[in-house]
Amino acid sequence: MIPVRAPGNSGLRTLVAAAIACASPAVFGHSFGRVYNLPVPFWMYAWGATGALLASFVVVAYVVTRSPAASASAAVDLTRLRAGRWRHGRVWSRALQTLAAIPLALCIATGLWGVDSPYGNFNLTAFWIVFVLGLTYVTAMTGDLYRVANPWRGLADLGAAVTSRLRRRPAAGPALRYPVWLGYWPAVVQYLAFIWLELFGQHTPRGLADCLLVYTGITLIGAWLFGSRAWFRYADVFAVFFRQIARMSPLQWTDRQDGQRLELRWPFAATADRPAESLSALVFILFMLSSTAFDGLSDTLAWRRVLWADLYNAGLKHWIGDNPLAAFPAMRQIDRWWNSAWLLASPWIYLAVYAAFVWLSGRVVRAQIAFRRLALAFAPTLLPIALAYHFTHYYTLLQTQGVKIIQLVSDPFGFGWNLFGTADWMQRTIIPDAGTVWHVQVGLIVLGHIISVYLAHCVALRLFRTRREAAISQLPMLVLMIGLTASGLWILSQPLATAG
Amino acid sequence: MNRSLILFAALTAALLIGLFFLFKPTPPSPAVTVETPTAATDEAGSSTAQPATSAPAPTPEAQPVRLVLAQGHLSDGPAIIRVEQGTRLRLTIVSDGAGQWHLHGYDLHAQLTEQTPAEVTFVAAHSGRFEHELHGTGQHAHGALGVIEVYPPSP
Repeated sequence: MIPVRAPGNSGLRTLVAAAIACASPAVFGHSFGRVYNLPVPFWMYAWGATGALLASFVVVAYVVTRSPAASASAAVDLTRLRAGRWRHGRVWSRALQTLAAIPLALCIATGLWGVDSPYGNFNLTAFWIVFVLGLTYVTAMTGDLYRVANPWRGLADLGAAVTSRLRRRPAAGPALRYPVWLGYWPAVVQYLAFIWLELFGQHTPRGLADCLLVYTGITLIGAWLFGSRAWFRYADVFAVFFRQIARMSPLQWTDRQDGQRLELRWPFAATADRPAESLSALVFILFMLSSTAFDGLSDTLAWRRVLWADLYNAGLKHWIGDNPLAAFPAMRQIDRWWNSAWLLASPWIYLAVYAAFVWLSGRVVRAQIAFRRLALAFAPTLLPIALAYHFTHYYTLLQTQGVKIIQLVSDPFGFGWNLFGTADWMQRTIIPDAGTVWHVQVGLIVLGHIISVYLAHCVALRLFRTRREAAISQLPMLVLMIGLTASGLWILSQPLATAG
Repeated sequence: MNRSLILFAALTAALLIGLFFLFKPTPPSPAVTVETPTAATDEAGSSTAQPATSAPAPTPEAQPVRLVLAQGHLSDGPAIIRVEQGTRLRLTIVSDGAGQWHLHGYDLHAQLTEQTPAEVTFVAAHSGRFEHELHGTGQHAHGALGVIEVYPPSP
């Protein structure tokens, strides 16, 4: 047994110890739910990083030595079969939207009138764990369910139908045309706000209900102004997020004249099909990576030390003094601004790094392809890395907190009800075995990396003239992807700072 | 195409698995002998076979830890307690105010009163990182104190 003292052995030990060990939940706000994960041991980190590096070269070798015919059809090299086709897709969609509106209404109602305890109230678990995490992973496996079952879309369409009925004339279409230059920027802004709330917001049932009401207001106004089709295509964070995730799914629903169609395809392959549509779509994808990376990084001891030890010693202490009683609250305030600034800056930092590597990759083969076209073409191939990051950081929450939804549905308001007889199920806390978690985390990050490298090569084969050119062009991209993977693993292997 | 894809996938898998065993730390020597008790008795004598047949060894004890709380914060004692999975841990918690101590995950509780130390003894059966905190009264209503990190036994 090794009792370890809080780091920081200089005069400000008390301050650092207070910050690192005794951080109150209010300071280092956290995504909702308890995580019991231990840092990944060094040897697994080393294995993951080396494995990713060496496997990358196997992928390169595979892509380069394939027959030209196979290369030409790389993007459509999937088994497409028609597995299903049914009529009345619209009716089904309406039914699912109505069904999805029930938990949404319940989340708002329990937040407004239920108990104030985050873990005793239905809404935080239902929203953060079941909807935000659970639906992401379900979407990655089964396709864009959210597009057909989005409750806000149902509400917006219902509103439009009611107003046109009241005015006794057919709907004239949206009030405004969605401007092309706006692209996905509204979704990017919503995404930044959403992650900021996740990391720095106070997670109370009431707070969530208020946020949901505000979000519902924005969404309905937006859908009314620009039409629900345009709004949920470009401007809504969840619709855009789930659509990006669904590109990796082996199942795809497509709308056809004669009804909906379900297609089976290689998982992840569709990410190489189409480039990102615009700069805003590229930034959205990069923030999918950087938000998770930042969430992990900001919990590590190394990151916490930068502000609380290095910067404090470098000059902050002259400004705020070294009396712990006065300095600690001041440092907490600075910490909040400091971390918020880095979170909001993270997609732009990733954009700068990504742009540099894309520029290099066009440069090494002297390609006659516009830089912008290259940047947009390779962006979706980063999605598997983003999904692996996301899953490895958050999946244990499904085990520890997600299962609690079974008892919470029986007593959503925390009043002591037992509607379905499940209120006392799953009482014991499930603690995932640390060894298992480590293997899953490292294994999936390496797998995500291999898939991304493969897809990027498929895209390169389509863009560049020869296989040789494609392979050489991918060396800078390979460096970028190895960097992303290794840093993701590094974050997982770092000692954690906050208590929880 | 399919044959080369399978070949490629197999090659990658073989590479990763090979590397895995290369990187995996080798277990410390005394633990290995228990693996094949019958073979071990024939060659290495009876002493090595004994652990496999006898009752499970008594739970290893970790060094007792004393935590001193002042005004709802940890004022003395380790902020991070590291133990190996399966060890018995004994905590003595001294507080200058009343409150309830709570260890997350294990969901252990201890009632604290002024100057009467609370004793908590438990076997760290689950690996992971567990926060412990004080549910006090007054302005220190909810304060994190530190973490207990339970590591899986080394392979």
